[in-house]
Amino acid sequence: MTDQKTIIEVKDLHVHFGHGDELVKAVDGISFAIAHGETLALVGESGSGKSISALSLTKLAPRQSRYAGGEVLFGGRNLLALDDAALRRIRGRRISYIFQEPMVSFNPVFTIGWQIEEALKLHRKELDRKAETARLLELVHLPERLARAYPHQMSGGQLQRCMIAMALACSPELLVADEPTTALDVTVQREILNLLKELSGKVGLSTLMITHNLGIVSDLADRVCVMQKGRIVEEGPTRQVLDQPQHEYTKQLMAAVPRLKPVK
Amino acid sequence: MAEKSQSLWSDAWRRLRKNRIAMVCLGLVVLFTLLAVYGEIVYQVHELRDITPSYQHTDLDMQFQPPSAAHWMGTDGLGRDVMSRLIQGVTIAYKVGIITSLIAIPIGVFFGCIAGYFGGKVDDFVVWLYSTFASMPGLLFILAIAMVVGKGLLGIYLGIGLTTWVGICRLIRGEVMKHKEQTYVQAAKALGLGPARIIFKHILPNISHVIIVTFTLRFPAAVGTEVFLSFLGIGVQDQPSWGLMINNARMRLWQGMWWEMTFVTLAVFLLVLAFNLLGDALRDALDPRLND
Repeated sequence: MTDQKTIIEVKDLHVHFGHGDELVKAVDGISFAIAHGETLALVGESGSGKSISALSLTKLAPRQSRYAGGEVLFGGRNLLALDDAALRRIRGRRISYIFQEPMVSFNPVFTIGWQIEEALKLHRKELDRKAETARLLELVHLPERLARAYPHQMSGGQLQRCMIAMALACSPELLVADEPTTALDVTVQREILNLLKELSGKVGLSTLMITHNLGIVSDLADRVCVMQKGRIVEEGPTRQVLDQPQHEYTKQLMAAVPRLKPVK
Repeated sequence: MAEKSQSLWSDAWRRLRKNRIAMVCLGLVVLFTLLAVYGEIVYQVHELRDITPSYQHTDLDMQFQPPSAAHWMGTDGLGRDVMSRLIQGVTIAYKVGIITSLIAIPIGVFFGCIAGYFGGKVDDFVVWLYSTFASMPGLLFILAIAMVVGKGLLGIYLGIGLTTWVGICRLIRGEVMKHKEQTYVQAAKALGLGPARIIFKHILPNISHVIIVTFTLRFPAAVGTEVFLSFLGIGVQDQPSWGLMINNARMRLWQGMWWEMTFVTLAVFLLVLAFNLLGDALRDALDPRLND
């Protein structure tokens, strides 16, 4: 939670789309760092560049984009300078992702078990894959028999649990959760968030949480970065940012959260 | 919820079994396949012993016999038994259908996959390549190949195989382009999978139905082309092929000798129908989302 060892440090990252008049600076010079065991939330409206920032950490941003500058320091190396083969050894093993839409994040023609095993096959050959898959499913509170189910046979919440199991399969140092609950309904959101909280405590995970939901932020994050138009406009410990927002945009975000008023 | 489901293929088989028409077609395809194998064995045995097989045995006293107990499908203009020639024809049809597919489908799938997935220069090259092939009239190309390798089956295999991969390539390229933008591919990348594994292990199974349907559609098309080429005289030379049989029977049809034409076209019809319906059913069976 406190200033321990830094896991990943992003320095002045620029990601651009297009050229000339149509140049879009999706990410325009952002910097942040995540300490070991810390959860950092990247908050902002749609199009503020938060997802692109997250994908850029391992150069996964769409091919039309360009990394126009900056560094991503992870394990003593600048990931943006690595070639694809070296990045593949980091993706999934040391930095893993959870995506927004669990329903389409799995390959429809393979069973869940096959897909979890695929991750294990790639990065942890030494393990007994069947047993490890069962252990991972148990970790996310799913029965082992679901390993034989196809994605379309499962609910969104179950799939997101599988996604988490898959992401944790190789004990990554950093988990990037890109709006992990946006596509789920409210009660399921709660379950998934509790699960993430429980697991990050259990395995000592550092997390980068991308979200526009300030409820999630106050619940899970240790620190917050507020993004607007590709820049970070405010940064600080969660309580401080949420209780005393300094920047106008943060105040607007706060004001946009619907509140339930007691009926008179 | 999740029942006893093992793999894509055992699941597909379970679904296919429920489809009665598909099972009838599968039976027909198996029957034709057995006939083809039988025909090939008969051919090889006679080649080995260097004797004239029954289907080449001419008997001018027995010309144009209608179907009877001795000749179930009658005899042709040289007194040869139509049924045994028909069975030899199955062998030729299968050889043409399968070997040309073995040439065309891997080429088309490979180029389609890399073009669709990598895009950019790779895509430009593949599009240029198949546009060049597509711009040549197929028949001329087949004729040119037949000139180089000589008349006969080899020319047909290469000619049809090397010209028909273009359609498959286009289809696969489009499908891969569509699939590579899907989240599951993004997720596979985020898992650290390399391009070869993503293309051939993750995307290809998702588009396998395209390949299977293409196969079942181009198999009879290849048979048709063989019939046509044999008719032109650059195809099969001395073995009984359906094309040659139809060509011969055509002349005699107006004289009331209906049996050769009828049975050969019936065989072509059944083969094409069985393959098409089976391909259709397979496509459905291979899609786990259309479960039950």
